[in-house]
Amino acid sequence: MAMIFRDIPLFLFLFFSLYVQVFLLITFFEMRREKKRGGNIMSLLMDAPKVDIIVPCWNEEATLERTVDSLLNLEYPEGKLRIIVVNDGSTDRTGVIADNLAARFGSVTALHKENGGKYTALNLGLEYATAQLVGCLDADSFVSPGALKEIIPHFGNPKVMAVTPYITVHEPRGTLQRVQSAEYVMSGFFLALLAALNALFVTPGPFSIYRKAVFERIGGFRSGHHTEDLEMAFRMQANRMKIENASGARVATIAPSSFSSLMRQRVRWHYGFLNNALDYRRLIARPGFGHLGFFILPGGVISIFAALFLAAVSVFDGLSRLRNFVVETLTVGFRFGQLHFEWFFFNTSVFSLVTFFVLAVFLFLFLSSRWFADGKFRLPKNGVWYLLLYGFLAPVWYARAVYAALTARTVFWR
Amino acid sequence: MPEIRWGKYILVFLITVSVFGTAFIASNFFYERRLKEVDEIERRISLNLLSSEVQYALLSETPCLATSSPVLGEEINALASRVEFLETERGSGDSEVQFLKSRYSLLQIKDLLLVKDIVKRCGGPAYTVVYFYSNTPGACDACERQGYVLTALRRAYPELKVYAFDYDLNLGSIDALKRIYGLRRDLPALVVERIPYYGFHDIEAVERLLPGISTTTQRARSKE
Repeated sequence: MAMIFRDIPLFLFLFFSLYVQVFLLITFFEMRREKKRGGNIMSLLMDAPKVDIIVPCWNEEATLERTVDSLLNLEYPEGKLRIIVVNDGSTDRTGVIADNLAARFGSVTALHKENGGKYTALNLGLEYATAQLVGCLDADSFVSPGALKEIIPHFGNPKVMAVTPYITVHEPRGTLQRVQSAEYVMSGFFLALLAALNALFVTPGPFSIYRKAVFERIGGFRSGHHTEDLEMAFRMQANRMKIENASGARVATIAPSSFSSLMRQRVRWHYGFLNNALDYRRLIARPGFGHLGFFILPGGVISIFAALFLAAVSVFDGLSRLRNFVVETLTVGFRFGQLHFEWFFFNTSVFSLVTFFVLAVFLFLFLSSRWFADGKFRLPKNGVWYLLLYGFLAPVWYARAVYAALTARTVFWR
Repeated sequence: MPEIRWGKYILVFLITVSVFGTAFIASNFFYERRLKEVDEIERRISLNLLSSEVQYALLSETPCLATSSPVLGEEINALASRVEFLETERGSGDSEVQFLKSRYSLLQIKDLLLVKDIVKRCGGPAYTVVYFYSNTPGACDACERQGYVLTALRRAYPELKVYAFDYDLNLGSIDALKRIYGLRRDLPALVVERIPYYGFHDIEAVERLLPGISTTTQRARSKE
């Protein structure tokens, strides 16, 4: 029985994990080999296209002004950038702040509407957008001055319909934000790998830029199970629109600082991923949709279940050891165990050796993510926090997201 | 249309299979090394036993003058922990593990007989416990706790020798022991001075079965 319910799934998931790691590793080496994007930024800027940035906000009085300030500080030709702040029925001073910003800066427009959700705010912004390129920026995120300059050259390729940035955590404080800051370094690297495979399945809220033609062809944003950025990317991929990643375009976002807010955010993300993958299941296992349909999407879904299974096995083993310790202590009292450092007692089963290899490849990719971020091949900042805690945190939100998806429960934004 | 490079999937598959293959070979290599190590310990114990037997045979008139001691408890313990580890890693059903357990059990029986013989001829206390357990699921719920107790006692009293036998091991010598002690299948079972005691015995209960063991240990420690 243990063989059927434990060993065989363990073997399959381990094989899958190793396959994914090797796939990513090879993609990374391919990506390194590829020439860096050339082009003269200045010459591109001289005929820089007009860009409209929509800032949807709901009760963002604490950060809205700084968000708009960061947009106003973008290195981009005067008169080519317009900021459309959409107040989605905020109950705090967000609307007043938006109006003040519009009064102070000619390039800022403030719109107000009844609360209807982020995607409705984005769609209102789209109605007012006239530029060739339209972007969005969450009102709790801040762009670096050179971000747009890094993104625009990607649109030199007429096939590119959207470009995503590299997101970091804004001034991480506290344990959870530190864990997330290292996680974002890894995510930024992962998104670049996905882009290299032409398999991006998310155009994140913080500063993804689209051609206006995208919305004209496939329509505006949808709720997408509270993940409109995932749904939009899925829809673009379904319509074979190319999405690229500009790793030099840095955007800092405020990460959840409490366990409950982090949990809500992640459950929403993964619930959204699972449901959107289900909605767009026609992409899966269809070679016509490239690596995304053939590998990344099914792999993403399997990864969630693999992580849950491996976490369950780890918890079971941990509890089993704890039980043995308790039984021994209750039987003969507490005593320091004799430490065996003899090689004989090292676990050298096939599972253990392959697991060790998978962890080594993961560590290499983790170090590479830092190299990708700033050229230093070492642990990302706060990487130790990530390594210590992420394995305990992620299975919790995976489990809750899967439960919510299976029981068709609704998840909430906040 | 996005293109798929099938060659990449095949390459990744081949690398993944190679890693598993290498892990399989490495795991077997380490297992063989372990078997070799266990085999060496068994041979060493066997040699010690033979040496003791020869000495006692040579000095048949005055066997107590023999200089070499029978097998050291640590060696038996080292062997026991290794066989137990291999059993956990490879499973009780593994034929190699079964063979190792059988040889280990035979060595224990030989050591037990030799110790009994020395005590009979030369006198002195023999602190030996013969312990019967079972690893069959559901056959002996208290065996785990009894094992903890005996391990703790072995650490506390170096002169104590515990001979542990798997009741379900298919070995004629173990069956003979069961018959000699008149054992019934009521596990865990401890045999002290040929008297079987059934059920779980905590530390104090086992100590009561071995009167004088604590004083002997104290005497030995004060000499040190």
